[in-house]
Amino acid sequence: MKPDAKRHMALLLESDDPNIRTGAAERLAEAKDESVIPCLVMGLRDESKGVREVSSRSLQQIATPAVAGAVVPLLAEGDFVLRNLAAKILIKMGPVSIRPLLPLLRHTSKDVRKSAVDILGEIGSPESQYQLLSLLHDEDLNVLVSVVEAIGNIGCVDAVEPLCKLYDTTPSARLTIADALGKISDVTASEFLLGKFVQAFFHRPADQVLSVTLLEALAKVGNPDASHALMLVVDDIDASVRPMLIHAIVSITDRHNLPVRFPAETRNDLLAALQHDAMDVVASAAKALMQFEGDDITQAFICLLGMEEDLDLLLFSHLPLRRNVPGFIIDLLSAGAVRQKAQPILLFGKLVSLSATGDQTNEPRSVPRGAFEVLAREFEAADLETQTLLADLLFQLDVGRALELFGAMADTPDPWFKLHLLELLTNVQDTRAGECMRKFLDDEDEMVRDAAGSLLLSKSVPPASPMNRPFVSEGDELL
Amino acid sequence: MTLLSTAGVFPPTQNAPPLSEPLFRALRDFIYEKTGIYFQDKKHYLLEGRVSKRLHLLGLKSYEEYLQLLKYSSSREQELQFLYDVVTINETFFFRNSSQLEVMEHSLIPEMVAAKGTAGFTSLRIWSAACSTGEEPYSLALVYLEKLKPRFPHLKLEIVGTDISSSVLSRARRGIYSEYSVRNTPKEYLEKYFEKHEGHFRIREDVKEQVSFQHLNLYDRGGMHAMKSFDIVLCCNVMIYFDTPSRIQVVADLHKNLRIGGYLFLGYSEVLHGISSAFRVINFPKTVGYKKE
Repeated sequence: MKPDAKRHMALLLESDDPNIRTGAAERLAEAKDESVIPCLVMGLRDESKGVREVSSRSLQQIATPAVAGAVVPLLAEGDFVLRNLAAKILIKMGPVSIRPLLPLLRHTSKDVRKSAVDILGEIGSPESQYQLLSLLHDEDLNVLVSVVEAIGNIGCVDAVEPLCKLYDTTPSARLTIADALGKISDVTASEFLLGKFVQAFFHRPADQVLSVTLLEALAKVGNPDASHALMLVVDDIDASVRPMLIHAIVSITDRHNLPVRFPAETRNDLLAALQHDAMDVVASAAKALMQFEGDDITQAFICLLGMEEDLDLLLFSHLPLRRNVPGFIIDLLSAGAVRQKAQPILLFGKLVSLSATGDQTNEPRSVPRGAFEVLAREFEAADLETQTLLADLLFQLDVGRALELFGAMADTPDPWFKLHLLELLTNVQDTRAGECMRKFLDDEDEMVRDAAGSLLLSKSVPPASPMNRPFVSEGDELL
Repeated sequence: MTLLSTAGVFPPTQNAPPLSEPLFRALRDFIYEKTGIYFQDKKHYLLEGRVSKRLHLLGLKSYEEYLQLLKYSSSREQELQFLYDVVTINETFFFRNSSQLEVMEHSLIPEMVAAKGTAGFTSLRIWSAACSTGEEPYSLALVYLEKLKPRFPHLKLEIVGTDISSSVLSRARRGIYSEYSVRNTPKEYLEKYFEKHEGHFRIREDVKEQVSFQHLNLYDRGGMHAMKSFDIVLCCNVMIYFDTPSRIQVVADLHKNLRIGGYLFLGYSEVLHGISSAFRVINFPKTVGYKKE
């Protein structure tokens, strides 16, 4: 942008019309050079939210030390809207903001010091860690707590010892200190955190928030000794804290590649922990339960499918080793007890396929009675992805009955699903397959019509395929 | 959010069909839209138990039929009232927690302003967590404009309202309320800060400007981490929706969200006893505050 244009835009920033001012701020951002910084900083003070936001975005795009230098003083302004905008810009710009912020750590206003600390903590770069460490004795408690949080975010290992000392002298900061020690994830904090957890365990009245926070930290830094010690209190701890205790034990053993071994008496506690809201806690309880046999556990695992991707991976690798999983999937679907149906159906399909290919590495299984009916019932209410899985399964289980349901299956506006159905029909030798294909010759979608036409032509020489025989294991009744 | 009665936790009636997951979600969303009451996934059984009573009384065969009735029947308005009765004991409205507002106006905020002195900023950050359609934060903004600003001209209140539902937040941002919502609003506020608009009450722009709304799930740790340095947090009638382990997590995060010396207010039936000793219980007239020390 030419200097004249920049001057013109700067003048327009003083217009009475907020739309013109917004447009001017946008144009100035296009210049992307430091000469427009003072105009954009002025835009941050504009009464119009639109102008303020455009100016803020533009400054974030320029993102040079000069921008940081111009924005940092705004943190001491009285207007909280301006302060919040300045903080947002500095955080978004990241490490380039650090140097201009450091002098504010010595500002006479505790609020300004706190703002600077909070921003440095959000940026999370080690560049500021030693300056922050020196503020661990700030006279203002709110600044001090912010420093603890910032040090935790940065992951400053040198802070472990001073933080442990601060824990006893500054009760207000205990939760933040425990949290920070967890984030720093240095194993030297394990013994300290365990000691504090034991103190909290015996303290009356109980402080469950503190206990859970200490356990969360131990989950990240605990050593095997901590895991053994925690195992001793599983039975005695309050039921509402127990899921986090289980999570801490499993996390520690996982991190140290040790086997997870919970005593048989904890089985019901582990099952109860599957109801926790936090998925990492649920995953830990599931891992711990894998050592136990039992249909109730298998069913609980099936009900967890679809809740979280990592947990699905874990369960998909474990469930094939358990007894009668396809049967339970069908039972649970039939009873309406499964919330997320796609994953159990996918697993059912995989297990049935494994049996069909004669895979002997997993638990032997057969197709449960009534599977076709249950899966067919699920079709109508299922989403498209699940319908695709179901169509595959229904054709795999019983081609003849799948063809009878074809009309209902094909009643969809989605052309890709129709193509998928055509593909399934390609491998079917039953004479009704051709009839089904013909239904698509008048389809509204050209792609579907063409595919149906081509496939009908190719049907004159039907290929031999395992798809033509229904899947039936030895000992099963016909579906 | 509003208070969920704990008295009526009854199992589904024997003849009622099971409430399927998609229908649970549809019914849950519908109830939340209308009442601000949010049933978590784990409360499936609770909602089923409560609504099955209506199915039984109406002689309906399925929850789907009931949802259709609520949405499209000519008697839907009447049925909505019955539904409110079975899922709530009340709902949100302006000046609902008047004793908390009075404490803030007469004690807390003047004390906080005095404590700040000349050393710090002259603004206070107040957060209405789970603010539903905005009545609570707007009530606070009204008290600020009418009572506190004339007394403390340099004081600025940064009022933030958050909720898990984007649609109730849209309604909060629109700021248009029924007569029912403003029934507890003192007349002088109603005349000065609201405009009559097609049978409804539209809150004035200068009041709306005092409050910013954000989407936030109190159980989302990342989102909670961003809520920093509040002087007062109002989290009324929310904890009741969480089981104890979840409540512990939310209280731990709320503790971090507060400045030292700041206050947490809960609903009248909610207490922190046995959950956390990190707060000091302060008894005010007709209400209790939890001070972070």
